[in-house]
Amino acid sequence: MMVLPDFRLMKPSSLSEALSALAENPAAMPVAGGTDLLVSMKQGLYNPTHLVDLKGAPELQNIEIREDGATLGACVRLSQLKNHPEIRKRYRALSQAADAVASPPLQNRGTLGGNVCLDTRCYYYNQSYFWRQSLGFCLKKDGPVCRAAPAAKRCFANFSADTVPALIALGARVRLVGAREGVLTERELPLEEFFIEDGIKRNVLLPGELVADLHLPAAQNLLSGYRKYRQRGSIDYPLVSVAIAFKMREGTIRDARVAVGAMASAPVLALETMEVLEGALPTAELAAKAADLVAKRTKPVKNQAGSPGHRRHMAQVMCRRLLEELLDAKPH
Amino acid sequence: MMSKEFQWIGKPTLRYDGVAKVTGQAQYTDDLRLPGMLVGKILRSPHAHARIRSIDLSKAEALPGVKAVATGQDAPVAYGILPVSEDEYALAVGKVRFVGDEVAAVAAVDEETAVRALSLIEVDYEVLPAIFDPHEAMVREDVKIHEETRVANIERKASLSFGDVEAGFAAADYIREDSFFKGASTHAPLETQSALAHFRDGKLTIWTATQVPHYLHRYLSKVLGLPQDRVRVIKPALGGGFGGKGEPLPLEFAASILARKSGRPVKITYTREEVFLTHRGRHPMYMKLKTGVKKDGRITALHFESLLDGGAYGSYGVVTLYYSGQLLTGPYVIPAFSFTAARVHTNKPPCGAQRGHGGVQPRYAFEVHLDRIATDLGIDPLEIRLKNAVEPHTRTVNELRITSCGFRECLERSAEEISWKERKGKLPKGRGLGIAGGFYLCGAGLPIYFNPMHHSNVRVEADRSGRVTVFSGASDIGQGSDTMLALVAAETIGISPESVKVVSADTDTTPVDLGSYSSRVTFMAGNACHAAALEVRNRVLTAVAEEHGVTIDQLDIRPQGVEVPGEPSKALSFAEAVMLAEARGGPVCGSGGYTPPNLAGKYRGGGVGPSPAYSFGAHVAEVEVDTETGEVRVLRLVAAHDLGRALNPPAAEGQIEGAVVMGLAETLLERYEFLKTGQHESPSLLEYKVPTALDVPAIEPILVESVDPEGPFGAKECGEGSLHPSIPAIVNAVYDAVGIWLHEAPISPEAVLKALRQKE
Repeated sequence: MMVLPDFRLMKPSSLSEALSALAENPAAMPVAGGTDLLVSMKQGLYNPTHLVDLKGAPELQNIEIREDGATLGACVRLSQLKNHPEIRKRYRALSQAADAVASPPLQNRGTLGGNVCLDTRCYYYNQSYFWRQSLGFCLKKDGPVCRAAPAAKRCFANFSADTVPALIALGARVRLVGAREGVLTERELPLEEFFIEDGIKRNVLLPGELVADLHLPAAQNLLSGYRKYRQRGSIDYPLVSVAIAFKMREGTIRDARVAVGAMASAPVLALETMEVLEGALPTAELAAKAADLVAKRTKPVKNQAGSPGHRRHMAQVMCRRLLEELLDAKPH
Repeated sequence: MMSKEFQWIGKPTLRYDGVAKVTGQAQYTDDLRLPGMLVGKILRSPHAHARIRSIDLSKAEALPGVKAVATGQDAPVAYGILPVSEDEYALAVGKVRFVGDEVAAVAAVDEETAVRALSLIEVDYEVLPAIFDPHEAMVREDVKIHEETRVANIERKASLSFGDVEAGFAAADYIREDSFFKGASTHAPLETQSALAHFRDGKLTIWTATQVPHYLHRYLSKVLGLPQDRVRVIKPALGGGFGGKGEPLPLEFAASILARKSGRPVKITYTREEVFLTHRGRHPMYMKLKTGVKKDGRITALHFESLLDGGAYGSYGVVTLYYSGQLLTGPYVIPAFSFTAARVHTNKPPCGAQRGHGGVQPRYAFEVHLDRIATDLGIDPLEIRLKNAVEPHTRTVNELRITSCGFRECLERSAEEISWKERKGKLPKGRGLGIAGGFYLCGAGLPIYFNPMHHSNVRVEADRSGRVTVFSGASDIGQGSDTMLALVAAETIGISPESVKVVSADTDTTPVDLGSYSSRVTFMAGNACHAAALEVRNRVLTAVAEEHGVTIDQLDIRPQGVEVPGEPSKALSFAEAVMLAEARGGPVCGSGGYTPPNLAGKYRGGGVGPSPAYSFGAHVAEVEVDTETGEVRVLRLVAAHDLGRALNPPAAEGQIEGAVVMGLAETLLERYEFLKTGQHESPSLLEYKVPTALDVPAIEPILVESVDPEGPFGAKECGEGSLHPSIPAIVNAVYDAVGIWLHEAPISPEAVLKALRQKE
């Protein structure tokens, strides 16, 4: 067995208690499902003094689906998302993405907030302490240089959450809460702005701040889907993922959003693809034309299985296939 | 015995350990706890190749909670599973040879303390240049991984020739040459290696997850300097071996040394990463083949060359080296054959034996090569195999004795099952069928160390309760050998398998069996068990016959007891019959042993390859290739396997299914590879891609029963040979689907796309 380092487990029963616990202990970390964090702790990637278990805070458990949108709490389990009939019907991309995370046992523990805050991943980083020490460590943890791109001055660890491209395509906004000097803080932003294209920083969360919930806009006339490329039918993190959402109005594509995962240190909005789709008629050539541009803003490096070139190719193939499937489909 | 209808053989028998395993009751080594037990941990080399200048243990020893610290100097005695390559130490002596090589070990009151103690051990290394490429290892004289190798880093070369190879090629109408590479894979057993050692009253007892208690017993005695009667090896329930637990391993020595030093029980259980570093899996192999054939496809000659990347130590490598050539002379008639092979050292974890040992890589190469020849000549792949199929009761050109052989039936039935004749060449684009054959040993003809004794010994004892106990040194590693022993004893005696208890793999209480490797247990331990059980049967029947004044052949044992002909009132239960026998002659015991006939070829290397029998197999794969993504999906895999006789059909089908899954994995998914600096790329079950249930196709096993004249009730092996054909069957099916030949395995989507582009 690998040893889990010592820490104190705190089990607050409300969100404000959880925020205070985090504020009072600067080296504390929040934990929900723990499916990713505990493994990382065993590998020596994180050494928090305290783990603040968020599962006891009822404010984070909310699933609310309305005509004008949806609110999903950070501690909603991935299996709840995947199995929720209304999410399946209205926000198909999210349901598919939740179903694509790891494997069913992990979906039963892993949470939406945990997936949104998932650490970036890399061959050279997600290894045991022995392994990383043997190599001389890497920029993301304890080392001087990025092993995947030694000439660069930054970390290229890969953004690997499945639910996020789906949420971004669906137009999600994220609400962040925190406690600073005893005062509760709150802010809300489009989910794509939550992320930072840097394998170490990853997102805009401030110390002590938490993802409270995600908000989705109304789903009328919405078509959406998620595709993931991985080596095995289950368990694996994505090598590439693509999420698409749009509405069909008067025979044309509207409000098209396309997000790509696992191709950079943050999720990437495929703006060029979106531009081609916006207002277009669903012709036979459209899907290929739009998909060709999907990897334009991505920067995959060799830090996962499969070459960067192949992953870009797969992004295009999956984008086209998903578009073809959706253009064939009827809105819910 | 053999002629009458079987009571149990050929019908489903519940696994002896099945209920305990599925209910979580089975006690694996890591489940065991002893009072005062310490946790042991091993310090591993961070360098791929380095000399150890010094090791300072003082800080580790001073840490509260640390009870013992050990280095190679505590037992500087070389060992290795093969007497010809004893090149390992319990812990490093002088040098380390791969990232992960064992340097020192500690025993402490808990795991946290043991881990902290490791970080306090100061090792002064002189880092040496490392070699990772076997071609480089062939020629680099300036870097010696083992000082003893005479030329560069070549551990061993083999070169053999049989028949008139030159004449064979001269007589050929067509000659084809091909090169192949088969990459490494590893066993990935669910249970990580674990050993618990206890040293008390001058005697060492070790509970350990081993396939070879007997060989481990000998080497513990040698390395620790203890007489063999002071060493006891016990194998608890074991969660998968596949060859990875088939030789003495560093943790077994380290736990024993620490137990002796601390005077307390010490348990070491490997982390998943350590399992990957311990390895002993499939050798990466570079192969060249040249085959001559007549116009009609009949083979006239074959020449084969292989280069084996052995990793840092010998392990089973010399056997792998010979097998790579020796096992190419079937299942097709090869009238003339030659091969040259070399095994080199590199600074990577040692390669050794993995399911299908030695034959898997050459089988992949040869079967694809054969399909290329068939394609060149316009012959159907099934046809060329039938044309060359080896026949029963023949000898191969390298003197392997073939007795029972259902190869032709395997080819015909697997092809029939998938409707080969109707569907081959008529599937939509992107879909294809591929066929391949194979054969494998039922145990090696020779033991690993020379000795004239039985390879398997079994004692059987019947007690007053009517229970029969089988004592065997055979190691059930999940393949079901305990169930096999119970079944053979039950069928032989006539009682029910539920009345049989099996005590296995404890060197203090069970007679020697060489272990679970080379697919030897059913054949050898099964025969030994049959002989021992027959003695018990005869003891019981003799007593009843004498008591009632009848002859033995008038009597029979059934689960309900022994009937006396014409006198129903005198019928005895089996327990009463045993008591009668015990009253007349003391304990009702039988013993039996099995030694294979001497079949070694009269040439150097002639001892590697011979077996008392061979299994045969043919697989047909149906695949779908996505020409845009390069992904290959196996839709169906029909696996016909000649196992002599299916003693317990569901168990046999399970073995075949497991073998096919492993074959598919090393064709499409699993990559055991390294960074340029020597670190393993993916030492976890997350990144080393063992297939999930979603990656496995419908597997359709077909049991072909050729009824072997020397196997127990006609049985042969089933768990290893059934892997061989799966790899080339898939690769050949990919050609049928999209017209590309893949000469490197594992195959990746990128390789498929590259080949498709090149074809255009």
